[in-house]
Amino acid sequence: MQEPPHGDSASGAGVHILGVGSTAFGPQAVGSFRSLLAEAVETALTDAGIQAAAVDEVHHANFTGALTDAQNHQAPLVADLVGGDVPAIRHENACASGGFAMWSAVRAIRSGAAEIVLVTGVEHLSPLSTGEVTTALAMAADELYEVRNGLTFPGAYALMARSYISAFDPPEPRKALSSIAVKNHAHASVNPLAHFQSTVDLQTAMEAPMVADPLNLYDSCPISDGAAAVVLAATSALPAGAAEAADVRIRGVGAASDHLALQTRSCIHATVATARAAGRAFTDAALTPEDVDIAEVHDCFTIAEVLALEALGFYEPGGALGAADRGETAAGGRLPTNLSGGLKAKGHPVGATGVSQIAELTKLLRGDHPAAADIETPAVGVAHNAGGTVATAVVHLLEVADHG
Amino acid sequence: MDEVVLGEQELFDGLQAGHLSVMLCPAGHGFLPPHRRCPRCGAPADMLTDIAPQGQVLTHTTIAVPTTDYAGQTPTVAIIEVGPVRITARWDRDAPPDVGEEAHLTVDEGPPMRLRAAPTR
Repeated sequence: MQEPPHGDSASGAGVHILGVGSTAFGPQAVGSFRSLLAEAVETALTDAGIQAAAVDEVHHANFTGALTDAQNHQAPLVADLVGGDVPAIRHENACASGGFAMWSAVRAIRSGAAEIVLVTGVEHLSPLSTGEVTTALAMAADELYEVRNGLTFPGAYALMARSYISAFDPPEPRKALSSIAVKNHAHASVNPLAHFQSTVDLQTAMEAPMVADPLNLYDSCPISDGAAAVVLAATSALPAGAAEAADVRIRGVGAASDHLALQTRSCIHATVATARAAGRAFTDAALTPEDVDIAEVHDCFTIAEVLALEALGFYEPGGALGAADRGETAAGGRLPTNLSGGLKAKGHPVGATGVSQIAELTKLLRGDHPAAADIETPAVGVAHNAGGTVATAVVHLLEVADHG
Repeated sequence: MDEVVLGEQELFDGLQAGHLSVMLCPAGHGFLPPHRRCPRCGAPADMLTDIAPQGQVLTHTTIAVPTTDYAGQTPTVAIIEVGPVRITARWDRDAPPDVGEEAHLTVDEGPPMRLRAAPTR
């Protein structure tokens, strides 16, 4: 019996990205979370070229709907958008909610339970003040041991950053972190969907006011509204003519957990969940980090991009801090990272982020992303989405089979 | 062997009495309540030990943009290594600690009970 291609289930169900859609991300997107979702879903269905009635299942991601819009139980609202009575579920894994919705959808197709799955994510943070958003995002950390003692989400990453800098004693850590902000702003400046449409210079990034030392304002992602949607299809459900277009496939997935509180981890700055999720994804795909051409990683803070690149296997521990400063992760570098602008500059509407990473990566692999002109034609991309201080992590490996 | 069970209230009560109650699994991993099994290896706790609530600062941050509970404040938060465990606490001084500084833990009257740390010297 012939082995199925890598990333496919034993039943032979390969998972293809049929269509993607995203709203513009921003500080105050136009409309409610419902209208953001409707726009993203409509764009993805149009991109996929399918009728709404073809959708078999909905996997939806959102983190703070109860606080921002007094709305839990959002999944049936997404089912309404495709006019169906299909099974729909909301996933909540903090900032990794979107990635875990994707992961669950891939498994639904691989299992043979569904052929066409709609994955959505939305966050609508603009109704809240900065203090209220800080309180809401802190719910991704450990209430008992961390948050009630004063810790915030930027504060938790600051604890990781200081631990990292204490362990590796790198030269000019301030400059190295700010170089990541400069790079991701430059990438976002050519992405019309990005929250920030402007570049930032190194001195401005280095001298920004502190949020939680050693992390300053330009080390931190903005507070964004936005929605994203992806339509996945089994090979058996590909519409006639789909083979003519660039076929982006999910070749491997992996997910893992770590202890919720930083204090329980054997190393405060090592993001073990990312390493385990990546190991599972690379094994699933029969690929190695050397095969990856472009990366979208979870850079909610500049230090998070460093930790992700190391845990994904692209750098040794302590080696990724200077990568942006050396130009290695920019559009012209050896591993262009966060060409979308990343969470840092494209924005971080929490539940939408993991879905948006797949949407952006798909367009980069198809060649219809504004940044595609700036890079050599890629074949394999990785998306890395993390929850909280990487207590949850999910990795998707995408490949493009044909540029049509 | 009797099951070793420790709730978070016992942890706070212990700190108010001047000790930190820690559970240990057979492999020697220390952990804090309300776990019943070791979060690293999944083995049940087989020992409860009271240790002096003092250790060294591993990392810290001073937060300029706080949660609503801390509105108008700039709390410093530190992770302290205390024997076989680490614990997160609000730093009880205006000046932030140094990494490696000796610190001891206390607890506020609740509710909610909040952990605090201060220099040992």
